[in-house]
Amino acid sequence: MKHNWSKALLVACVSVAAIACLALTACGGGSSKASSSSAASSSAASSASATTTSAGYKLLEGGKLKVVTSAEYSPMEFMEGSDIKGFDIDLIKEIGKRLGLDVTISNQAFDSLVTSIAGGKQFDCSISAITINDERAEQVKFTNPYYDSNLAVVTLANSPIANMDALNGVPVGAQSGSSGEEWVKENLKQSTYTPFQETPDLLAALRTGAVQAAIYDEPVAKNHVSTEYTDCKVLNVIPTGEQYGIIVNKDNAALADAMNKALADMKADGTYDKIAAQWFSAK
Amino acid sequence: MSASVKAAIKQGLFTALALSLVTTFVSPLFAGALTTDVTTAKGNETGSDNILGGTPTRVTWEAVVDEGEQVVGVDVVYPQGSSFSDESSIKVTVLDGTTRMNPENTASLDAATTTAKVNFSEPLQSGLRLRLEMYKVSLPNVDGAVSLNGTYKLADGTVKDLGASPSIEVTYASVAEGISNWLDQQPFVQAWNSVTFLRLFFQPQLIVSSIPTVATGWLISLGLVLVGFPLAIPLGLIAAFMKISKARILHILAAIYTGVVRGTPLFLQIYIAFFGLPLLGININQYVLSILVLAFNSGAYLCEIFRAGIQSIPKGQFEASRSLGMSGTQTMFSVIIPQTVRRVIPTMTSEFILLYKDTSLLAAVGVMELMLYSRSIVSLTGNMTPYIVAACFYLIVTLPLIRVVGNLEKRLALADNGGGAPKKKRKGRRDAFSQMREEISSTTETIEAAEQKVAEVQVETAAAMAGDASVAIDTNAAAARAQERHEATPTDTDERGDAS
Amino acid sequence: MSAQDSMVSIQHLSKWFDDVEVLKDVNIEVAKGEVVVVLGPSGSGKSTMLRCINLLEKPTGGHIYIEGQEITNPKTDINKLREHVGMVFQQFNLFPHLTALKNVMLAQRKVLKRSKEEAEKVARIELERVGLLDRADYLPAQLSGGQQQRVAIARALAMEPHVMLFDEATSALDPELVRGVLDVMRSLAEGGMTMVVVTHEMQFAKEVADRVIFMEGGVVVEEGTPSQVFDNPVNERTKDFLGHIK
Repeated sequence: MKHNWSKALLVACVSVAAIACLALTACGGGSSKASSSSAASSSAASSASATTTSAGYKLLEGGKLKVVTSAEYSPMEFMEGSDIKGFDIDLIKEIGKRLGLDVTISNQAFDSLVTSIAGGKQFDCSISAITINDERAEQVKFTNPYYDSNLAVVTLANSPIANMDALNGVPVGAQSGSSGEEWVKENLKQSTYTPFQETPDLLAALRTGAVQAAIYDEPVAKNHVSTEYTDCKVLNVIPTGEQYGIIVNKDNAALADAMNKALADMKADGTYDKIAAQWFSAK
Repeated sequence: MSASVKAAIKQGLFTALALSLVTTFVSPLFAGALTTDVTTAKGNETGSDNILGGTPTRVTWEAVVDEGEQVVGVDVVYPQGSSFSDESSIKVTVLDGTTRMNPENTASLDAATTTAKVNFSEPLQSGLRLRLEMYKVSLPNVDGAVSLNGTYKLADGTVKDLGASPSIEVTYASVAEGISNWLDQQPFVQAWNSVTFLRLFFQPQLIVSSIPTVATGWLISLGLVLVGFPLAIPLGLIAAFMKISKARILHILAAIYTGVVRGTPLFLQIYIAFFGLPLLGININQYVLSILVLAFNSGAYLCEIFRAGIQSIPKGQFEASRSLGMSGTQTMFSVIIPQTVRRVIPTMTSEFILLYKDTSLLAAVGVMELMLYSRSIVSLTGNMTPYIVAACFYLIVTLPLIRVVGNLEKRLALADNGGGAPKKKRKGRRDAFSQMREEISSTTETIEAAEQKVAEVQVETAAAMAGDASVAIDTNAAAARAQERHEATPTDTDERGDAS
Repeated sequence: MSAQDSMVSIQHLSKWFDDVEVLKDVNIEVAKGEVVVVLGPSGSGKSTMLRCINLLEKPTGGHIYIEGQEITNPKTDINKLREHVGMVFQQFNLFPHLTALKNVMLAQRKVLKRSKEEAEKVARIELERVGLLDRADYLPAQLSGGQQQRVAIARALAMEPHVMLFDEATSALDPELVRGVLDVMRSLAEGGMTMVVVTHEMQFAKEVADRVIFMEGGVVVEEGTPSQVFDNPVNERTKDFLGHIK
């Protein structure tokens, strides 16, 4: 038995090492500093190849804050032409400014953000209306909460669904990997649930009738129904009291600390409110 | 429930009702003093919503403070058989309507009595919603409903019982879940998982626990393609006939069909079908629609495969058939199609493999198939391992088929060699391969040989060659196959005296 | 000889491939029961002429009559006509997915609408005639070239043709296999079949032909009995060609 295990492990190790080599070679093209670690690198080894700043936190590339977001969640983060804009984006840019770093923003599917940051090879942090919870906190390190949110139930304006009781049993959709998805799975046991990778697809499905309700974050939902999606309405706000946090790699708690300080400063000197006022006029 | 509580229920019923409508969406089942209106647990069986007993989960408990009461503490007691661990934790949220409050509090989990305790320094006023999230707590390992109860403490020191909470359906842990939990405890698994890359892509526990879910998706994907592909065959055949037909309008229609379908990504076609058709008032079950889109897409590729196949049949076959007085249609169905079928099977199999892999694109529009089932676990766990499991499920279909294609192509190549009047020196080879040939039961030849054939037939009228040698096939697949064949038997084209 | 009396009558036949004239004003008469052998170098147009007789090539100009019926007339039912004109190809062109027996049965079933039993009976008779009854259940790929060609002849004969066209029937065969095919053809000729044979087999021409036609450059340059053409060729090019052959 023992022999079999070790043999299997050996085979697995060799194949994994081969894949890891490939992955590293593939990733290495972009950043010269991040790719020098060995094939069987642990997260510790990988961060060793990154630069450590005088402030004590690590960066993949000196002087740069590499941020990843899922830019289809207006007004939090969204694409305007080829630019990524939104509340989260202004916030992280301000944080970057206060840390003296150049901020670069990349776009990626929402359900892969946590994994990307946990991997720790591509990005320093992610800000993308990510609700703080313990499951995610096992994989990554959260900053202090920077925004309070709830979930909202969005239906077509002329939907026959009158109240929340009528919701359990109709087909519903949410974004894959979101807190809305978790809420649906726990609370709407009678409903058929369909996950969507992007909110625009979720709303397209709502319009076609494939789903009859979409459950996602309140600020985004409210923005949607008052702008592009005027044929939809917010049926109800689900008081979840969830909070957004910025995520960084678990081995890089110092970066979260530095960001927390910047966030506190911004709240103290009114910069935070100024940015918020720009994006949440209603609130 | 004590008499005083009952009185309080009656007293507060109407006010509580009115209040609830303003502040919360949840219909008040009953207005107890501290009304527990939500008790849920997060599905902890990988890839399903089932809540397994004896397995850590996250329990959410919500209650609303009743009119006229001020709550300073709550003890939520878990049923017999529940357990907390060192990793268990509790999170407290207080909401006024939809606005988050942050009252000072102390919260703890008492493992001995499996009780969650929360105390507030300032009493919670009526109308406030208290939400407790308890992480990594295990419910009793039973099959059935369990519910939480307990007590709460008012500002004046009175302690009251909590009303019955909504129940949670718990099931027994599955075998896969059991193995996964066992793996959790193993030192070698822990060592393995300490490497970030291995933990995120090859986590042993997740490999085991995601298999049942991913297998469900695999069956669906396989089902979609097993129904869709046979539908694509007649579609492709009809389009192929239209394309080689002399009627210009039919040719143009087929050319538009294949051009548009082959010239745009399947991804886009799926979007148009799923979001466009319903807006035109056409509502089709999403699995049926998936099958139709796959068939429509694959039909265009099969059309080209069939067309190339038909046109690769040597001209002599048409001539022999026509010279016997058979009509064009008779020739097509009795002579050309049966030979074409044998010839296109390898390419068709490749197309099947492509289509099978392309079912993954349906995930974008929310069709629950292999990719989406695995993604649902990925997004839940933040771990890529289920994708690796999904890759294996793709491979268990595609690898054998790839082998089959290889073998079929080899056989066709052999059959090609045995087709003609054999030269004496090839006798030995003929015998060696004769069994092979019997199985194939057909003589086939490569595309370039077909062209050469046209040339040979008209060898006396050299000038005709330029005009009629245009049986050339332009399909990549066919060309690639011809190329492969050419490499496999480089000397055969010229010495072959086929019965073609 | 008028068009009505002859089996095949070719009048002023011309054929162009794009801008190359491969047949120029060809006139040939074939009487019922006559065996005509067409000789000539490669590219002389003899195969094209033969293929025009059952319209595998469409003549550019001129008229062709078979049993008095003009096949070049667009109104003629070409499939009906082809039933009576058997053709044997250089490349045999057997249907590779069918056994020898089924090869011979197919057109009987589809064109003559014979019952399965009748078609099989005829097929067996014809296969016996070409000496291959014992190979009835073989696939073409399992037969030698000579055997395939004999099956092809049986296939044509099963349709009870009034005239048989042979297009270099032995050219693709190994020398040792040629004989069997020629023997079949010879016995057919002796049985009174009308035949037009394009071949390079001089011996066969000498022995079997009623008449020999020599073509070159798309024209008939010499025509006559075998002894006339072989022993006393008039035309220089015929002499030249025969000289090369010998």
